Amino acid sequence: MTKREKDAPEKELSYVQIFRQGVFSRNPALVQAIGICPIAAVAADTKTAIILAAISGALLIFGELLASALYKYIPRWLRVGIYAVTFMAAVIPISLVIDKYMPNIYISIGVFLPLMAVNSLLIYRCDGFAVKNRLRKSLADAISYSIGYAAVLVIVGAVREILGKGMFWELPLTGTPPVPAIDTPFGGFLVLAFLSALLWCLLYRRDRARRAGALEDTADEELNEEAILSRVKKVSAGVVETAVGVSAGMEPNAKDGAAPHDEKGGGEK
Amino acid sequence: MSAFLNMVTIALSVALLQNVVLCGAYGITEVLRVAAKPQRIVRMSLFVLFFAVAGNAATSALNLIPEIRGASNTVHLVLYTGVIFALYFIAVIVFRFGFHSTHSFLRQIGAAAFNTLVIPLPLLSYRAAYTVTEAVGAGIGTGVAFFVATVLLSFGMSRITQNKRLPASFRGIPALLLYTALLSLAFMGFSGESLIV
Amino acid sequence: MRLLDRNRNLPERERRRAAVDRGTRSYMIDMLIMMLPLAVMAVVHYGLRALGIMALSVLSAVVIERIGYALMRRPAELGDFSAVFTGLAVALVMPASAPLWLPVAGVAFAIIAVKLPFGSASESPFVPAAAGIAFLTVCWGDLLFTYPAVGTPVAVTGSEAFIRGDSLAAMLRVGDSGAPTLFNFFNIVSGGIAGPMGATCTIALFGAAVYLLIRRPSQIIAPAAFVAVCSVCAVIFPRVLSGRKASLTMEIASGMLVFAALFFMSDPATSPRNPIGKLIYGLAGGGLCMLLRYFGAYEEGACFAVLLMNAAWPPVSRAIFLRRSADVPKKEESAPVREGGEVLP
Repeated sequence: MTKREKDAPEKELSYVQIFRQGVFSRNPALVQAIGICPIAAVAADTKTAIILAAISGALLIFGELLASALYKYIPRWLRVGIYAVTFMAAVIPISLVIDKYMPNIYISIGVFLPLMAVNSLLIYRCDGFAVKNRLRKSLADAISYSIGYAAVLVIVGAVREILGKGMFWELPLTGTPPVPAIDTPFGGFLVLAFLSALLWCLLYRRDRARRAGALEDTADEELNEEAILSRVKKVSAGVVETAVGVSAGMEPNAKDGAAPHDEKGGGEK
Repeated sequence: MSAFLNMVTIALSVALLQNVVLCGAYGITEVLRVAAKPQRIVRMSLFVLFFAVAGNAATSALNLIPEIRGASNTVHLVLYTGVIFALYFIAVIVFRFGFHSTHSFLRQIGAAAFNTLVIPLPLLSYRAAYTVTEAVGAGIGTGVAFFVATVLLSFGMSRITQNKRLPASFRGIPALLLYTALLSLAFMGFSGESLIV
Repeated sequence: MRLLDRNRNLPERERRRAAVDRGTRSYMIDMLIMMLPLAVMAVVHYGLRALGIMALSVLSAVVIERIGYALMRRPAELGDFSAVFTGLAVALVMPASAPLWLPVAGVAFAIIAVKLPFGSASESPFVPAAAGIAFLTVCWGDLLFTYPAVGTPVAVTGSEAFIRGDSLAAMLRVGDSGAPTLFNFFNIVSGGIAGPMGATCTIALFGAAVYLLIRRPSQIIAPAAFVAVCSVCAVIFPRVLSGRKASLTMEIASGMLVFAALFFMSDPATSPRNPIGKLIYGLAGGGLCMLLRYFGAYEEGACFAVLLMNAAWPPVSRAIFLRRSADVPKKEESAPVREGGEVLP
């Protein structure tokens, strides 16, 4: 192993910062656009969305704990496959349980259980955070990202149920004519896009307020403009990674100050 | 000959008429990531093509055995994961020890093998009761669909980044998601509201 | 934010923006002049209800755009007439019997989801009106494609007084060769057949094309190529049994094919700039349109063809012209990874 291949330690973050990042400033779905396949394709009503949120949360916590505890010892080039197989194995009991107790849901979720298992959110957080951090930090990270992801899932599910079916919690609403196309993945993307714009708007506003001195709390510096600018200049290749998630999956986020070190290796040009 | 025609029809249908990525949202995260790095598009599409075709062909060949065909959904899940993992393992071993590839490259192989586009494909083919040639066609179509979606989104992304008049809150991800939504709408002219694949 | 107002040389940007807007404005005015006879024919055929739909649609477009710009805290750019164009274009493809909320929904989608998020009409990567019509097709296709019979009093679709007419597009869909009365040439030319209220009058569309040819000769290339490919496809692969000539007439006169070609394929913001590019753009769009008609999910696919060409043109142009075209960004600009650093936060 060369020096480059060793796991770079992450910058230390407090638990509050980890939580804020996972839910707001680095919300997986809305800010980094990872794990949006299940949201766009399946979460068309609130009940399904809640079940998906529960499954993905459980998988994320389980996977991050396992990765943090054990997977440091697996060679790095094989880890991605090991994560995927772990999550597949974890999905099987869930599949059996759902099949036994909630067969109706099984039809609607059906093929998407494997989708949840290879959700890029899971692999990305495991490889980007958990293997490099202690157990407690990983747990905090997993919980915060689960909450952030679950919130998006449930909001998108509810909005799509109200707009697309004219119902909420399977009760018909009066006065909202259904827009059928919102049920399709197209509608999922549409709702996600506007939700994401809303979140960015809030983040910008908070940032502006903070710099105007309205907010005392300057502890976490995310989204302050200087940080953005310096990041932009520092890692030209890594910028889209922070915005679009990370390119081929699982590099550490460029925002953490760790430039995507593997990019400088050969085979890229 | 008719089997070949069938294969081509299914490939075209999966790739263009009902682009699985844009109409079904399968594997969209991976597509967005690759679209952000245009230099990776061809390589990743080839990897996806390989895993989709080989994985789908192998699993549909396994389905010819009556015991496996009759087994429950969960058994199929395990089986399909095993097949994809085996393919991934072979590819990684070849590139790690044969070509001494970088970790970034090996991760890309992982991302091409374990994503929401390749993994559900065998299950969908099983449900559609595809023969081996049809399954190969579906695999080819998936690879092409990945390529088409990535190229379209990549150019859309460059169009968005050059747009100096984007409202502040739509910069970056929101505009990209909106562009994806509109592309999805455009492809719905072919597929309608239901995705058959 | 300083980050968001990066352009230090503000006067120059203002100048460029003004230039772009003037271009959009004069194009939109031409388009509106071309639509005027279509609107008049719609009122002639369907009476005041058609006028009401058009007025409501245009009004809602202007109001939504005004509110949207206010929410974005930008000066409203109603002066470029693109909102009026969007409203009128959506209204003209409605059936005269459409419920009044239908055009409003299409216009709202076009402006809220396609135009305003991308800044302005000249920056949107898709033609907003085409996207609005596509959205209506996907959501309420049955309402959009149920046309009233011409010459009868028009009532709302679905009500008891509603008299359904047979549109050419629906006949083509089921392979019906059509009653001989429909092939009254005067009816087809003057729009006296059931169909979208502003897009059936072939003579007015022809007049609009002549106007475009005189005013902007270069912009006629793409629409002409579009219609030419559709005609060739209609002759080679007829969907009706009553002969190739009937197939040609029906395909061209049905739905919104010529309408979409004239008003959407000629849009300078999304179409290519050089003539060869325009030709290829139109040819490919026409091919896609006929593919959508033959294999698509809906009876009319022209708007989807426009959207697909909007998205597909940059890569196709790159493949054909190898970065020599003005449509393709320069090499150093084209990599979103680098350029994106400035815009993607």
